[in-house]
Amino acid sequence: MRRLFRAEEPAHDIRPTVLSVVALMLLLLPLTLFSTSLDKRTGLPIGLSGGQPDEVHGDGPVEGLRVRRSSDGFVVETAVRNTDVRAAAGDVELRQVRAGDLGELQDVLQRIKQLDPTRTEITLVPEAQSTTSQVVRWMDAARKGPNGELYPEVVLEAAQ
Amino acid sequence: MRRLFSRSAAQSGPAVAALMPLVDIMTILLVAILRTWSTQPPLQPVEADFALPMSRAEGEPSLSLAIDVGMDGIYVDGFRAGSSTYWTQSEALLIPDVLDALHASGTDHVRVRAHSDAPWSLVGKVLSTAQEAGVADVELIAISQASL
Repeated sequence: MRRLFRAEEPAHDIRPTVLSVVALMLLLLPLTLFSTSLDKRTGLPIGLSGGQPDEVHGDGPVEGLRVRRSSDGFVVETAVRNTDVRAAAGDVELRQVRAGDLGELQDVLQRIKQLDPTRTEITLVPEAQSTTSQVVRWMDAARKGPNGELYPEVVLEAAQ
Repeated sequence: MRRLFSRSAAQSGPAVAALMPLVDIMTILLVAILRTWSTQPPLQPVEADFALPMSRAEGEPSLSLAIDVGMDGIYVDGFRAGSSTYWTQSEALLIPDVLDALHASGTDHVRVRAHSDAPWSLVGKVLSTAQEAGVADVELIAISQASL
């Protein structure tokens, strides 16, 4: 019994194991680098508007929400249902709020979202000379703010 | 018994140490691949210097008919359908060649890949044309900020 435990085991050479892993890495690395695209693309679903007024969505107090560019930033146009107890759908009061940059725009949209959390749609009206990257940044800002989701359904109005 | 275990530990030490850098590289590679993995085929730009805008969104784009809006031309499914300069300056709201191509394809879902510097007056016309052709779902393609 004593000899059994004292028996010398053949020395285990790890070099073949390491070599096989290195060989696998040498095969995998070029294959991976060739087949992997470092650019991950994403699709932004958009709705298209013909310039007609918004349809009434849901039962919330905000019946229309439109953002357009102005010379000094953005103008948020909100159609809020009249607070009169006899007011019906479509009986709205138009309000305009200005925002200097995208951060301020998100603050304004956050406040409107608190007013009507059920509304998910917003209409953006880019200027004719706006670039696609500016519009995409604008869409990103309207979809999600620092405090969570804002308006995931973005409708773009064609440039006039 | 004691020797058996002590010898085993002594031998596995260098083996593990030798494999650690390889495991580290594999882990970094795996994370990078999983982060950027996409089932989309690689983008084949229709024009040199074609650059997509950058977005914070991370949704996977669909595999529908592609309309490319470059700085030189407009392409439907890879075929040129108009000049960007001409249609940017034109007063017309629709682009007839794009409209014909969309009617011919009969699709109701398109993805628009517009150059990041393409003016909205042009991209808007492409979108209006798609709407006129009866396309119900339109996607604007961008590069996700999750890219490496």
